[in-house]
Formats: sequence, C-alpha cells, structure tokens
Amino acid sequence: MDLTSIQQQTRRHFFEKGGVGLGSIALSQILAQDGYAGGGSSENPMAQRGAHYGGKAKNVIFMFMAGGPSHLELFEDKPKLREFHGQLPPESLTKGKRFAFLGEGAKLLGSERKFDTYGNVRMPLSELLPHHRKIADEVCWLRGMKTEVFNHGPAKLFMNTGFQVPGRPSMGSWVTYGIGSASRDLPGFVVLQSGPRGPRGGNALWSAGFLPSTYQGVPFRGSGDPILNLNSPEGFTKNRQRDFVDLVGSLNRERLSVTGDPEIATRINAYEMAYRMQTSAPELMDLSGESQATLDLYGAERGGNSYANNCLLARRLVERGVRFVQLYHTDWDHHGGPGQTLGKDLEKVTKEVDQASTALVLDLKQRGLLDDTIVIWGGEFGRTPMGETRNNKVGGRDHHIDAFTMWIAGGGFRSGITYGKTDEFGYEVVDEKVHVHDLHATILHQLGIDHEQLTYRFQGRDFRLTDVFGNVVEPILV
Amino acid sequence: MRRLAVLSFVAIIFSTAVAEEKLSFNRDIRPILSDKCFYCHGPDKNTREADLRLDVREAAIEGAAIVPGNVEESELVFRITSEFEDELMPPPDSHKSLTDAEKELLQRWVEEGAEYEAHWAYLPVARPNVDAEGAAAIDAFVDARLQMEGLKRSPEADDVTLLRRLHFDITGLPPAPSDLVRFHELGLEKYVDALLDSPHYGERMAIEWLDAVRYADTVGYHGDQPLEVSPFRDWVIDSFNSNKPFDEFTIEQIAGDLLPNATIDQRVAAAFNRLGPSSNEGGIQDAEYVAKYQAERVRTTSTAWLGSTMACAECHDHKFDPFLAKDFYQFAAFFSDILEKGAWTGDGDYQEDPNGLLKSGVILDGSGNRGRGPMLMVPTEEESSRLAGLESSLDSARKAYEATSPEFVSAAKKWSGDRRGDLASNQPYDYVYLEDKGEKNEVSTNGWTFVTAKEGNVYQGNVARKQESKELIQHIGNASKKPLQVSEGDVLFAYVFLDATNPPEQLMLQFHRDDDQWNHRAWWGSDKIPYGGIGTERPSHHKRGNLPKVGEWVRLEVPVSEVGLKAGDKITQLAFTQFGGLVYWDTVGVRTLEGEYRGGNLPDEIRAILTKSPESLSDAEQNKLVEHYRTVAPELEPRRKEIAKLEKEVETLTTAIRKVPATISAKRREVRVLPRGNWMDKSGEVVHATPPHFLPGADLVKETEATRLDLAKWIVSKENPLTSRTFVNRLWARLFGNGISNVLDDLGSQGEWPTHPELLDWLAAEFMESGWDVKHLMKTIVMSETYRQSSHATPELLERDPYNRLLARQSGIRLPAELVRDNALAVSGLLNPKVGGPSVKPYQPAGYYQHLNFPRRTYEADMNEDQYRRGLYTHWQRTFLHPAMKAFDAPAREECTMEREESSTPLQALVLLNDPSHVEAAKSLANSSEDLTDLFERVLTRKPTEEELRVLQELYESEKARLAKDEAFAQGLLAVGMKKLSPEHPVEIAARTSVARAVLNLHETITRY
Repeated sequence: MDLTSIQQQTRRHFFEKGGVGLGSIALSQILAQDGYAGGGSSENPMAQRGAHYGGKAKNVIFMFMAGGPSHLELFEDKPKLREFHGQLPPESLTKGKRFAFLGEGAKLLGSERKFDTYGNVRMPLSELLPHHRKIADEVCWLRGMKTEVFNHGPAKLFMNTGFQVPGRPSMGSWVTYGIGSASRDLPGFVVLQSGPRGPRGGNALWSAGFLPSTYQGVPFRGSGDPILNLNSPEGFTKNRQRDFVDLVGSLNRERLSVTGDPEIATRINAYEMAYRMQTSAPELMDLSGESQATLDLYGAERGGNSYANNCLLARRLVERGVRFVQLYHTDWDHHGGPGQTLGKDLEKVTKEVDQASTALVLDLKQRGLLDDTIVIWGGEFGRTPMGETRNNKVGGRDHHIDAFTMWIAGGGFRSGITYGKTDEFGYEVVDEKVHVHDLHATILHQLGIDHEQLTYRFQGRDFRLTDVFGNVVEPILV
Repeated sequence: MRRLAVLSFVAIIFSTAVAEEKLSFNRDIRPILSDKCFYCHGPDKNTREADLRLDVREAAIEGAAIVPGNVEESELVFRITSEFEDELMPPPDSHKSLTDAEKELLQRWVEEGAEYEAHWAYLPVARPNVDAEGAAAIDAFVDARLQMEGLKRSPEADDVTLLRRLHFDITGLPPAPSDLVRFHELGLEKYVDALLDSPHYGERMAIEWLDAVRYADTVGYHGDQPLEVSPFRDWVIDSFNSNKPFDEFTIEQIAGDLLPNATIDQRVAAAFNRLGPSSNEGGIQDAEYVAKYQAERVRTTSTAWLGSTMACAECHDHKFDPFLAKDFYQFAAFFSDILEKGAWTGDGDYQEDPNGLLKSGVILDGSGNRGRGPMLMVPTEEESSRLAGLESSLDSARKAYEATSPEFVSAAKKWSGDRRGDLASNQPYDYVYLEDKGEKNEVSTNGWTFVTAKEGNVYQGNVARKQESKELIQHIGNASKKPLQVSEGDVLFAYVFLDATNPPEQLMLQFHRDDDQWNHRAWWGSDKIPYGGIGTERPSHHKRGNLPKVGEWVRLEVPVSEVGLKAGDKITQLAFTQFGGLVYWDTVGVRTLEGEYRGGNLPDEIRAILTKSPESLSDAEQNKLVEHYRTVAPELEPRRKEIAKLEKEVETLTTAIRKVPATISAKRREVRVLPRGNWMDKSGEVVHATPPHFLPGADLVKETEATRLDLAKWIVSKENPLTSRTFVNRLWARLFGNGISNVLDDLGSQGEWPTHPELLDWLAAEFMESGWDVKHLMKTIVMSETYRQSSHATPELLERDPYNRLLARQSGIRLPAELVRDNALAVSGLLNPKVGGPSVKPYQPAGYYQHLNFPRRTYEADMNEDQYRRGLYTHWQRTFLHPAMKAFDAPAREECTMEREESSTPLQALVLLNDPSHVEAAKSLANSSEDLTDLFERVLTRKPTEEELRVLQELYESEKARLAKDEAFAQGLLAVGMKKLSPEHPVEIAARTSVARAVLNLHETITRY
C-alpha cells in the first residue's frame, strides 16, 4: 500500500470516529474534493470542509461581555421605568420569578443614563457608548434576547454550549468540528481574554466537551508564550527547530515504511503544524506591521494586553483563516457593591470596550472582511429593571434572563435593523424574541450548517449545540 | 473506534454473512429501526406519531405496519419505498433516510416473518458453549468469525512488541531493556503473573475507572476550588492491587457506608457518591442544585456500571430504550439519603441537622459556609495512634480540670462573695469593652497590626494595636457582638502609648451609633484630621486636649455627653485614628455607675444569681456559680492552658490528616418525577427507589424504601445482564482498541450490535463465575493468542477491515495522557515509583491559572521528589486541567467518561517538544545512557536500525558542533528542570540531550503496538 492510500485510510478512519452528523457528509465531500492527486499530506482534522449547504459566512468573532451588561443602561431607554422609580414592579411581571440575589420587595430603578437615538434605524444608545453611534446602521440590534439561567457559571455555559452543565462542546468546537478551518498555521478556534479576571466557568466555556480535543478552543495569551509550551526550551535555537522537526519526521517516516501504521502519517502532520504555529503565533501577536491609524482606530497599543488589542488580534486571526475567535472581557457584573456600581464602574468597563468593539466592525468592513465574518457582541444575560441594594445603597441591578440586548453584524445578517421589543420596563420581551438556542441555530445556519444535523453521539444520545430546540431567525438575515 | 461505525460497520462487514443466513432482529434490524423509526414510533409516548409503535411486535402488527410474511400488505414496506414525499418514511423533514441496503433488509425481514428479539444487552447473560477453556475459548470465538469471513489471525507479535504491550497494558510502565531477558527466562504466563502482582498494576487499572467515576481534585463549578478526595483514588488502586472482587468493589463504592460495621476503607469507597461537581456560587438556588447532583449521580452510576444511557430519560421517556422518565427518578431516589446541600453557600440547607449524624472520624467542613460539609478522616496508623494519645491526654486533663475539691468550692464561694460586693457597690468602676482582638474575626491589615509584648508595647491582655503612618491612618475596632450601652455620666476610655521618637500630630477616638453613624469624635493634639470639619467644635469634632505624654501608657478619657452620646445610646463600632507617627492602642472601656456591667464580663445568668441573696440560692444555682468560677479561677489557669494546647494539637493533627468527602445517610429527600427535567415543576408524582422496571431482577428490590445497598447488590446480582457485559467490554476495548460492542457507554439500542456476541457473553459469564475476579479476566485475555497477535496490518487487511473489528490482528493504541508522562519519566530514570498519596503538581506553564477565580490562585509546582510521580497523581483541576493531560485527551472528569478520544494534534507535539517535564527527561536520559544505541534501546526496548542510528548520529555530531561554538547554549539546556546536572563534558551531554529529545518525540515512543 502506498502512502496515498494510507492517508486516505486515516482520513476515513478519522471521520468514521468523528461521529454521525456532518462527519459523514464531510467525508464524502472531502474524499471527492481533493482526490489525493498529489499525495499531499493533509492528515489534518482541522482541514476545511464543505458544509451542509452554502453559507453566507466563513468566520465568527464573538465578543463576550462576561458578567451581564445592563441593557437598561446601554440600549433600552425606558421613561416608564424612571416614572415608576422606587415603586414595586407590577406583580404580573414578577410572579413566580426568581432572581439570583433580589428578594421580594425589590423596587424599580430608573436609569440615570442619558439616551438619544442614532442612525437611520433610530437605535437608542446611552451616553456610555459614544463610539457605537458610528455603527448604528452597520449592525443588527437584537433587543429581545432570552436565556434560561440566572447564575453566571451555568449561564455562560448555556450561551456557549447550549447546556447549563459543563462537559458539552462549545459553539467554536461545534463549528470547527463541522467545517474545519482555513488556517493551516493556527488553531481553528482561538480564545482571547481581557479584564481583571477570567470568566467564570473557565476552560469549560471553550471546551470541546465530548468532541475530539482537537476542536477545543486554544487560549492565546497576551503575555508569555501566546500558546502554552510554544517556545523551545533554552539551548534549542529557533533555526534548529526546523531541522529538528524534519529529523523527527524522517525517523517517523522510516518507521511508517516498516509498519504501515497510518497514525504515523497523522503524527508527522501534527508536528508540521506545530512547527508552523511556532512561527505564525508570534507573528500574529506582533503588531509592528499595523499602521498607527489602525492602532488608533481600536485604541490598541503595540505590546499591550488589552481588550482593544484583542479586537485587533481578532481581525488578524480571521484574516489568517481562523474559523472561530472568541473574546472575553470581564467585569460586567454590576450589582451595586464596591467595584460593581452602575456609576463609575460601568463607565470604566464601557470605556474599555466601546471604541474597540466598534472599530472591529468598521475595520472588517473597510477591508472587505465583514461580509464573510459574523461579529457578535453580548453577555450571558441582562440586568433587572429592579434595583439591587448593597451596602445600604441602591446602586446596581441583579441578573436578568427574560430580556436583554445583543448585537450581531456581518456574515449575511441584516444591518441597520432592530429586532425584538421589550415591555415598558425592559422586563419581558413582547415581540420578536430570540432565545439563545435560536441565536445558535441562526449562526450555524449562516455558516452553512443545519443545526439539527450537526450531531455527535455521546452517552447514547445524538447531542447538538441546540439540544432539541432552536429555530433559525429568518427575519434578521439578508 | 467509535460511533458512526455502528451502522456502516453492520452494512459493510456483515454483507457477506447476511446473504446466506436468516436475519437476526437484534443484529440486522433493530439498529435500523432504532436509529430511523423509534424516535416517532418508539417507547416515548409523548413523541409517538399516528399512535404507532414499532418497538413492540404486537403493536406493529395491530397497527398494520407489519403483516408478517407479507411484504405487499405491510404498510411499513409501502411507506419506506414510496416515491411520494408525503408518504415516504422516514419523512424528509426528519433529516433521516434509509439506504437501499437498509430498505432491502427490512423487506427481507418482513418476508421472513418479522420476528422480534428482546434487545441483546437486556437478555440474561448465558454462557455459550465452546469447545475450549480460558484463553483458548477467546481464540475459538474469534477464529470462528474469521473463518466465516475467510480471514486468518496474524502471527504472534515479536517478543519486544509483546513485552512492551504487556507492560503498558498491565502496569503502564515500559520494560527496561533487561526485562527482555527475564521475559525469556520466566516464560509468558509467569511473566504475566509477575506483572499482575506489581503495585503498578493497580495504578494502570485505576486510570479508566477514575474516568468512569468522574474523580477529580476540584469541585468543577464556578471557582473550581480544591476538594480533598485523593484517599478515594488510593482506595481504587489498592482494590485493584488486592484484586478485590468487582462485586465488592461496586458495593463499597455505592454503599460502603451502609455496610454493617463499615471499615474506614469501605467508607472511603463510598466517597464515590460525592465525587461529582458541586457549586458554591453566590445566589444559586439550593433546590436546583440538589436536582443537578441527583441527575448527575444517575448518569454516572447508570453509565459506569450498566452501560446505559438513563440520562435520556431525565426529561422524557427514553426514545430508543425502555427506560421511562419514572425509572430515572426512581433510580435517583436511591441516592436521596446522601447528606448534602445543593448550594454550598450560606443559602443551602442539609435535609436535616448534620450534627446528629456525624459518626466517628467525620468532621464538618463549613469553611466560611463554602466547605463541602461532612469529611471523613483517613488517618495513617501513626496518625491514628497519635490522635488516640492526644485524646486520652485531653480526657485526663479535662477530668483533672473538672475535679471539685472542698477547697475549690470554698474558693468559689469567696469569689462569689467578692463579686456580690462589686455589684452592690455604688462607686464608679471600669468596664472593659474591647481587649485584645474583637469578636468579629479581626485581623491585622496594612498600616496597623496586632503586636504582643515581645513585638511592641502592650497595656494589658495579650496584644495591643500598633498603628503607624506618615499621614492620616485609622482602623475600626470590631469589638463585641453586643453593643456598648452608655449611661448618664459615663466616661469612655482608651489607653495609648505614643512612641517617643515618632509621636503623632493628632489622636482621635471615634464612636459609631447605628442611627447617625460616625458622628461622635474626640481628639487630642493639633487639628489635622478632617472628620467633622477642621476648625469646628462640635460633638462630631470635639477637642479634648493636647497630646498626652510620650513613651508611656496614658489613659484617654471622653465623657459621653461631650461627644453627643446620651443615656441608652448604643455604640456599635469604634475607630482608632491618628495623624502620622507611631501609636500603640489598647483596652477600651467605660467608667460607669450603671449596674449592668458591674462585676466585669459576667454572663447574664451568673449576674442574676449573684444579685439574689446567698441564702435563697438553690443547689443548681450554687453549682452554676462553682462551674462559672471554674472558667475564671486563677489557680486553674495552667489546666485551662493545657487543655487549650491539647485541643490545638488535636485540631492541627485533624487538619493534617487526609480526608475524603463522607457519604452519610440522612433523612431522604422527596424525589418527584420532574416534567421535562424542570426542578421547579412540582406536578410530577413522588417516587421511591426502584431499579429500572424492565430489567431482570428489578423486582428483587421490593421495599419501597430500598437503599443504596439494595441498589448496589442488584447491580452486581447474577440476574443483572448489564454490569458484567459493560465491564468486560470496556476492558476489552482498552486491550484491543475497540469494544466488542463499540459504544462503550451505551449497550442499549442506540449502541452497537456486538461483533462477537458469543465472545462478549462468554467473557461476561466467565467474569461473574470466577467471582468477579478482575485479575483472572485480565490474565485470560492477555494469554489469548488473539491478544498476542502482531498489530501490523497488511494492506489487504487494512482495506478489508480498517478498524480492526474482526480481530485478525492487534491494534496500535496511542498511550493515554498519564502513560505518555510515565514513559518519559521511567525511561529517563526520573520516575518516583511511590504509590498513592495526595495529588501532585508537575511543572506547568506559568500563568496558566491566570483566569481562574474565586479565589485567584497561582500554581506552585512540587519542587521535591513528588515532581516525578506518575501521571495519574496529577492534580486534576477540572476547569483548568494540566495542559499536558488535556492535550493528550484526558477528560476533565466533569462527567462519567467511558472512553477517551484518541487524537493526534499539534498541541501534543508542543508538549513533547517543549514541556519541561519532557525536556528534563531527555536530559536525564542523555546523562544516564552509555551511547546512542543504549539511549535508543532504553526508550524503545529494541536496537535502532542502521538507518535510524545514522540519522541520530548525524544529529548528535551537528548538535555537538553547534554547542561547542557556544557553551552557554549547552549550559542553558542542561539547566532545564529541577535536577541540575554539571557533567564533565557538558557539550556532549547537551548534544545527546537533543538526540534523546528526538527519540522521546517519536510516534513509536508514545504508542503501544
């Protein structure tokens, strides 16, 4: 048997193991596609592969605002809430509802923020998001978001994996499992973090769960090695690494010729990719080639380690073909206690993200990348119309699952529209509700993936990102 | 080895067989019906369409879907072959469709009479007849199948390969080159026996079991804090080493605590029940998390032992197997007695007061309300005897302390008389309100600290408060939980000691009243502190005088009226404030006439007794006075100190003793069927602990209040068809790369029809009949010729049977994550072979925990011999699993995992190339080998080929040339890791380290062939 057919075997082997869903479709396509004419060594589980159908988008950037941004201070101008400030909410709204911290008797809290409307869409935006005004007509405002769970850990898992318990694959893992990644030099699913601490839930938020670990999100670090164990130990110089990987490859190849074990071919390929990552990851992080104008657009700094830098890196990642990029920025949990007020603490975090989030959309657009890239902004839930008392002061809001705002841009989503309406207190969605499962289904759809068909069998059940729910939200698509 | 293989395998491999013999429902038909039809026409009544079910023959016939023997009349055949979309089954919008081959099979089956069989895994285990015993029986079953396929077994593997295979499979450690000689001397059987007797056998066996029971060192949810569980892991290792029968092994884990006279070991085993993830996140709902833990236990227990997917029945009746939602909750009810909280926060509640339930050796870890409650102490023998010794000393000390002599009684009487005098006096007296640390967990912080007389100046008591700054500084003294109530004419006081060389510019005492807060202040010196307003004179900024004398203790006094306090006001906090300088503060109180505090800190009860006339006191009251005197008697101070010291020692020892979460049986929680799994929905019926209704032997458990012990006994009863099959199938998968039924966590209808059903049943029967003897099972399998075959696949075989399901060869299997590490440490001579103990921390990239919170923590690698322990002892941080473990597919163990993925990724390459553990291993290997051939042989047990040696030699020469030019490189390389080397020829050893690194990176090195 020659090398080509060995590779064909391993590849078949891989997909056979890989599951019941898209794997089988992808298998037939990929085998048909390249035919192995050149005997090229593409034993790469991340190999880009066809979707269920032609998708509008290729890549995803998800800016995750960990902690739960207050829609009532940022996106929802509610005069009634101010009018009824200090009063109990109507019982019809709160009956049977539970909150993480609020007890009975919590009173309505009108926002002190000034709002105006912007763009042709006349989107209300508060004074806290001055830069967002520029993209009012560039994005689709999802004002009727709805989730299921009001504690941070489970809610973040839910937004990322469609389940409240850890151990399930995240959206980035599902996507790269389904359609691979165009990047041959970088992982297909990259995670970037900023803010004073990591998001609750940690690695479980970008875990591959029961999918092969190839598909787990790879956190890139702003300091130290961008990827764990990326650097060679002291004494091994970089230019020797090429020779070294070649040498390991030649010994492995020698063994392959004796044993014919197809897994050796896969191993050789993994070492090649590792070698390329050693070069391409530092190159990615090096912003010296970015113009000052670009850095200024984001508010990024060379050598910095901020959310703004991460937004710029996100663009660089999708430019390099990375399929799924997720940014986490923490500190959105504004209960009202020290460091958690809707006053200066919310101002601080909005200042950290406003400009760069906006810049990413504008920059992708000017480079012609926005059409191919789905850009998502939002947190795990919103915040209650009722105020929360901490340290004897009403300075914050509790977690709220019944209504919150996210926005989504590019990737075939309609721009300059709002979708979703809430009641006069911003408590419940009254029209055009988008459940987290619906959001997941729609994102997959835009990538050409049928969310009901992308499945994987674990503990006897065909799991999906959308569990047994989810509908594609057609009205927000071009 | 997985999943999709289910159907395609049946279709491909069985095509030849199927053509001739009669179809088997379980083998040929059930997988198709289950996957394509049962969702709408199966056991779940809620999703059933057209009121038709196809999983029960009578129902299918009654619904006219099937007319046995009559294809024309069978609606099923008509529907699956229809050309019209609105008639076609499965309907196009289900995204399911039948292949032509599947349609043909279904038609043939109807034609042949549409016979049904109960699902194979639920049928009793029946030992099939075979004309051979032991290992030979295995070969007979495999050969029979190969013969049918026209194939033959491969020749036996060469000795080196076989030796390595046995080592990795049985002990998980590679052979030394010299083991080959021993292998030849002892012969196969004796060598296998020796490996099975090795203490490392239990370690190897533990790895997969720990995956199944989701063993980890942290709690998983939210902050993923550490939880001490390692004695459980050691129990698993010991159990395999002592060859504990699998039925006992099972019973002790599920219900060890319920066994009569349960030993500590059995109670450690029962920690299984408490290994699942749990949460102490603020704001979570207790009941919600109780529901989560309950569901997790059902998932883990049913998957690990029964190979069943009861998880599917949490929200609804199972779609493919006969599990009902009710079965799920009845199963959960077995565990409802486990003492726990849902929310391990101040908000969570045990189902009953735990204090009455704590048996010996169990303590309650409340750590700030966030601990995981009952913890079982697992002392070493030495700790046990020390603890017993301390407790007996404590016992005698307490007896001596409690002895009541006539002299003691008269001393108590004298004391009572004196206190009566104090109380009756009409002179003002000092009542000390704050001495030493306050009662509200006061701790030193920046700028001020508690000091003892040795460390500074103390007025009285044990400590004073030393406060120093160049500017304004203050701290709040948290005194008694009881506020200080002032009376008319009272004078507040505090003692200060001003440093002679560094006195402050101003002193201020501040008093807090709840209604108007900090608005009562007196100050001395110059007006620098702005509180109350510089330059003003009012009760919130009242000048009492100039700075007092420096270099000695001085009493500051503040009449309450001058700072706006009136009779009945309650001071709830006080603050020690100064501007600059160094000041010691101590002993705060009030000089008063008020009776309430007279006599000092007397408990209310004693005060009341002392105000009565001595003659009127009852014996009980007299006694109370004596007992109170005991707590203050100066002559007993040494005794009290001795007791306190012993108590402290007991506490220190108790803290040091290893612990494991204790499973304690308490009042059962009510368990209801939760519609759609919704914990808030209380409409479901209340259920009682019962095994799944349809399984044989389920009726053995009759009691409505059946216990975990009943469940465990049922799980390992001979009537239960699943347990033995699940275990032998999983062990087989580890030894051959594939299970006989290849979905290891699902033997149900969505799983796979076994490739060798008779072999599986024979093994299951053999296992049970041997008395659940795990070593016997291991030995029987590895002695078989099937196991000993070469794993080399000829191109024809690779083409014919790419996944090695027919067993015409062995399989190459990448080492699991733990063994990748063990192998590198072992061949390099670094391995510390110690068995058991607390988890350890190997090197880990700096900052890997930077995003781990609540609390934030830094990882500190063990810088001692624990650095070189086997991989299975690695600290298992669920949300931030060690990167090397994670890269090589070790599961986070948030869920029961029956099978690991086997990936081959760039991140693995980076670990092997650059992780200090592996680089240090290369260095150590280089240093201990004689030459390149020796080095190679130590790693791979074989000699290098000429070509391999040439390539390595070339690397060695070029590295030597490079390093000779710059010896700093060589030194840098040799500096990696904890063990420093300073060899005579650093350049040579460094160059050889490169060679070692290359060999340790080979695919062959991390693969068991």
